[in-house]
Amino acid sequence: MSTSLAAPEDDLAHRLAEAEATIHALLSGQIDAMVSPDNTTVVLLSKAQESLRASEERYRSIVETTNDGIWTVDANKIITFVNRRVTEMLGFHAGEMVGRPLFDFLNGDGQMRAEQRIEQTRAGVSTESESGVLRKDGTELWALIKASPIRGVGGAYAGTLATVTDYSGRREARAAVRKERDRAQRFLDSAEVMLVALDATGRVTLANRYACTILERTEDELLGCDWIETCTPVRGRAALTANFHAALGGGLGVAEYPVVGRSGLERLIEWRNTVQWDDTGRVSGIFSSGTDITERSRGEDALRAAEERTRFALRSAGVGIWDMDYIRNGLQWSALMAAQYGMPVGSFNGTFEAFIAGVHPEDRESVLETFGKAIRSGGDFILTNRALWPDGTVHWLEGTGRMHLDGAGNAVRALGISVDVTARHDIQEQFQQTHKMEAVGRLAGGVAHDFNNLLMVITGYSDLVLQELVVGDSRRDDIQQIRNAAEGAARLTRQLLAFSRQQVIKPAMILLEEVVSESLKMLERVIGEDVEVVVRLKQPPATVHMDPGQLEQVVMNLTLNARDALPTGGTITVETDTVELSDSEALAQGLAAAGRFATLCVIDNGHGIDDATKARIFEPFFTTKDQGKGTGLGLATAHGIAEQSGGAIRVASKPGEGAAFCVYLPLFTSSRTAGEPRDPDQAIPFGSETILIVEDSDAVRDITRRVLERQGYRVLTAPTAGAALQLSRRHDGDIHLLLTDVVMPEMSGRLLAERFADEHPAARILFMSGYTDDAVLRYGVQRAEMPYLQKPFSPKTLADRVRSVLDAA
Amino acid sequence: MAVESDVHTAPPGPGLLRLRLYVAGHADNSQRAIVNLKVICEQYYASAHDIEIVDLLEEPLRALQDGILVTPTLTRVSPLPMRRVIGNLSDTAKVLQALGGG
Repeated sequence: MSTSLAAPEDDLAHRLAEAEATIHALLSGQIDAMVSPDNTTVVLLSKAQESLRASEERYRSIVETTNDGIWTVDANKIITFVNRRVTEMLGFHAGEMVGRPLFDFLNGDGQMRAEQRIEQTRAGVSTESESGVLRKDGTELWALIKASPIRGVGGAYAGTLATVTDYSGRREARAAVRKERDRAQRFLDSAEVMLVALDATGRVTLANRYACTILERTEDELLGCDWIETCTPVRGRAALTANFHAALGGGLGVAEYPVVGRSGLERLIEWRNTVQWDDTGRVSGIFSSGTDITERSRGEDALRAAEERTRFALRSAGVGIWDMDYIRNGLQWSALMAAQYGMPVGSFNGTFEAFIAGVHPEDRESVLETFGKAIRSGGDFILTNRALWPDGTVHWLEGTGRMHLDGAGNAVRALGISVDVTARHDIQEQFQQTHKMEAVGRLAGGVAHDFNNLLMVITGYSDLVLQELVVGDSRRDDIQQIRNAAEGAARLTRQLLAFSRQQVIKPAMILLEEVVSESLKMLERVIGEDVEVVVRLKQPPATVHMDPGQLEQVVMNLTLNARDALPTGGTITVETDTVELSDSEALAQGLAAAGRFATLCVIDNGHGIDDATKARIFEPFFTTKDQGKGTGLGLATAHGIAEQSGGAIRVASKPGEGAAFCVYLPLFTSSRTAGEPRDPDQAIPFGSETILIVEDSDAVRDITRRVLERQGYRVLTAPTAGAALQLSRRHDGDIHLLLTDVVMPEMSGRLLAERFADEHPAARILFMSGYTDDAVLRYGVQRAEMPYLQKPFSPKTLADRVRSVLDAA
Repeated sequence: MAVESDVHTAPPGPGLLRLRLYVAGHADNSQRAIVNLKVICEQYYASAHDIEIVDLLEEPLRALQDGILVTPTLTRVSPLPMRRVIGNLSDTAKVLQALGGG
């Protein structure tokens, strides 16, 4: 297209301009005819184009025979050409199409695509797209349309040429593929797991319906969005980003992390990730399937909490757990279990042999036997054994186990619990020991009672005979020997009673150090010269509340015991001190409660005591001394006295390292001191009152009567309480004193005293007894609060006591 | 493809605008030139114009008289000076320039 402007002036410039415009018009095909200036003929240019048309015809035949349809449209989208294939494909004649707008042959969608296509070709770009084209019968042909621009003269856009390929077959194939894909999608959608695919940058490329439901978003919202930014809680994003890169490297097959829905609702998901590669082998993304484990996790939380409670309970109760796996031959121990065997945490190597090695050698056989029996029969079993700790200490363990056998009767697994019962065991042992000593004491007390009666008779009659015999009579010495022997026997009986804590005592406030000092003076003579006695007494002296005679006896017994441990000489150290003990410390020393205590320790550097001896050392009649050298009552008596005084006695010793016996006595901080001087009365007092003696032992009753009658008293006697009451009713005149045994058949002395007192309110009452059993203790007779006479007694003691009771205000 | 704003609308000169278009029968460009010219004149010059169409296939001698070498060619007969536009007149701006300018 060229339009020329020419001036009519007859000058050269105008002519040239006109010529140029003419040439442009010619080149752009806007000229129809030329006028020959010679013969004034008009030559139509169309004829000159015939040859050109011939060559065009050749192209046209190619165009017509090609299997692709070809059409051209001009710049106004008017069809300017269609080839035969197009007519075949669409069912139109060429004449029905050429000259008509292209859009007449396209539906709405096709028109839109054609518009885009043409715009692109107008901009000089060739395009390729699929589109539907309407057939004459109204159906649609699916075609691949490749479009390229048609250039006019000068390169301007003149229209579009398009080749049209029948794609209906491929479309169907693709539809089939899509159908298949839809089926897969439905499958994905029906899955009760989240299925999500991410590309390598973490953007969502696939999300199934379940994923959409969990995330409360549509598939469209999810596709293309950043997964971590959009679908996970803020707090975990940094870690997830790192994990994502790890997963891309194939490093993370399974992961567990929460996702967050649009509403902010979180769900805990367990993910399984598969890395996806593209055709070139590069990682293209990740395909993940996620199971919602929120509920399960809550269940696990509850389970964990329950486990925690159990663990706490087991820990608090000191219960160790073991678990033996017979398949892998491994033994698992809880931390507490290892502690029960004195092993540092983590040092147990997990074998049955290591367990056996921790068992006390003497118990290994029984443990192996217990396990062997369980392996044969299965079921539950009880395990009791000692653990020998690396530090040499022994701990008692007790537990139960359960053996699991498989169908063939082979051991599969055994598990059980274990508790350290050392403390209980010790207490039990202590209890048994105490019990034993009490039983012995009771026996000893019983024997002493009868024995005392006999001794009283012996001493009583000895005294009577001695009083009858004049001084110088040779028989006096013989009788005196009898009396001395009886007194020795009486001392022995007293020791027995002290041990059995049935001795009647007269406690008083005394100064420990004074009594100890006095006692040691008496002992100087009996301790050999080759034994050095070191005395370290605390000042000021400590006040304790106990019978001074008993304390003397303790000092004596302990010191003599120490001397016996030093047959070839050595050193005995006697020291006193005060200590303050807490509850647990007090308990450890065998004391009932915390408090301040005075201690008296007697220490020797002799041969020491082994454990077996130590365990029995306070037992009565237990002695390591040669036959005839020891009674076995010395330490037992000290033990009994210490306990009777509210204290305790302990021994510490090792063979070859000497021994230390320490007595703990409750300390009285009050400054009160006591120390009633011993009654030095010499003369035997007389009286004339009427005394009723009640005693079931004829011999004792008799000697008592004779002593009192000799002192001037009027004496009535009865062998039982019943007889005494009858006698007292029949008797005219007053009865001034009831002297009665405490323990008698039919009726106790105490009850008799009550009845008697009802009928003779003015009368005095004096109890006597060979021993103080529980009945006496219950009546409160023990602490000398009621007038009481300990058998055996000498005639003088009897007379003294009777006189003092009668004279009491 | 001129844009409206580019058009220099030429006021008709004193007297009638007289135009003469030389064509070659029913040849495409000639027919297109006739249509284009009529559209332009109707639009821009209303009725104050006169168009003479000369078919050189019927009156070849007129070409000689007017010095016409090719068809289609448009000449402005009046007002003077005479101007020529060669081609099928599809470029409206150029046509208006030629017809309106002094």
